[in-house]
Amino acid sequence: MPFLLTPLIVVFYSNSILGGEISQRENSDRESNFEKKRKRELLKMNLGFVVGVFGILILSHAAYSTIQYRGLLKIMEEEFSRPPMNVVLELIIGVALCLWAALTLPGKFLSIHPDSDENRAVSLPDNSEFMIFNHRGRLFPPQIDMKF
Amino acid sequence: MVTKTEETELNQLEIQVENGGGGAWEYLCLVRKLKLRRSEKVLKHGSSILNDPRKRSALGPDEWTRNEQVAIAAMDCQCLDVAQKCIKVLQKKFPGSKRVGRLEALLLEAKKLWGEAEEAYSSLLEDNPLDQAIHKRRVAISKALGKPSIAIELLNKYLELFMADHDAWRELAELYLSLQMYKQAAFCYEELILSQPIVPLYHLAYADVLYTIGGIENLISARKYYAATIDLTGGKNTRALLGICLCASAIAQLSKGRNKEDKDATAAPELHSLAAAAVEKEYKQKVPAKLQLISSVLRSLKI
Repeated sequence: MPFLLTPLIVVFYSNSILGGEISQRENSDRESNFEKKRKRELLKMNLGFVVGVFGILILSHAAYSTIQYRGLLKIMEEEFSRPPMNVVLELIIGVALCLWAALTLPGKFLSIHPDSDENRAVSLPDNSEFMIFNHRGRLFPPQIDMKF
Repeated sequence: MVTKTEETELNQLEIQVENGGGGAWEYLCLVRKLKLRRSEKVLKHGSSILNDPRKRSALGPDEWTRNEQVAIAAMDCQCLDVAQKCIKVLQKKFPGSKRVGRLEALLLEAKKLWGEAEEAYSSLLEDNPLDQAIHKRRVAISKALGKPSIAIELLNKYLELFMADHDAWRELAELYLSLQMYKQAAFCYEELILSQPIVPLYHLAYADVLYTIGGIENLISARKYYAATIDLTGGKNTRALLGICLCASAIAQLSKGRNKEDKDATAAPELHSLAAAAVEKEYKQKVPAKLQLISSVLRSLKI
């Protein structure tokens, strides 16, 4: 049983470290939105991974119990209809945990609709490789001075 | 291609940067990634980053890309001394580089020294004859000199080598349109639709060209392509909806003299009425002040 508690300890420890780092970096300008989003995603992936390992362990434990139960039934010469209720419960919990981990671990799912906001092309890139400088804007240059 | 989420992000960043909030570096990165032409803003904010030695050292290896971006933006805004300084900095860091050589030739173009620019590009081409960007710049020089026929010739030769270059096909289509050679422009758009059928804007442009050429066959095809655009954008493109209404009225006018069976085959009354209703709904949502205007226009189109 203690080996099942260590993943939880790992999760809470990493949570506290990253939480401390995020509050220290709130003042910096460049690392505001992007870094925070990335750290939150990494956290979720961490948690998903740990929960997934947990779920697999529970499933393997249920499998082992079922094999043991079958061995017991063979000794008592009875038929094997279904595993006992607690093993079924363990199975359901293991499946739920693995399902949640499988959905969380890959990160953000991408949209597949062609008309969703992420995929809809609103404008094509201006062909800057064919850009010409011969336009009327050259009569109004902005006043920029360079100090380097 | 700029998607809707990227566009809203860009607009937000732009407003934030213009009003003095931070995020100039992210704005520059986003503009470079989306390949947009926002030269004034890039020049203003890029030069403010490069002028400040603290911010410049915070960039790290990204500094040289920003230098290049600011140099091109400066050339577009005709601040040639700024561009010259940026190029000098890049030359010091990367002596003998082809990319910096291209920038120098670009500066000659901006100074309107077309002969020297052409020579510079030919010498760069001798070293590597398959450089796409240099071929494109030669086309741009002929375009800037006001000789679109030579530009079309050069671009055709380029496309024989690099057939998969979508920007070049688009540029060729626009050059043909400027010379009113609509059939050739339609061919270019067909190539684009074949290679990237998911982009709705190519379907829209092709439908526009077909509508311009006119004739009942082309109008029916144009209506089909407008409908394809509406399908691909989920009805959010107002221009395609208006295109269907215009096609409807043009087809109705052209098929006035025909018999009933022909007219029934070409008419699509449900499509027209649905498109008109969708246009009115969008106007009601976004610009309710102009709803009267568009309703009267749609009513006159149906007659």
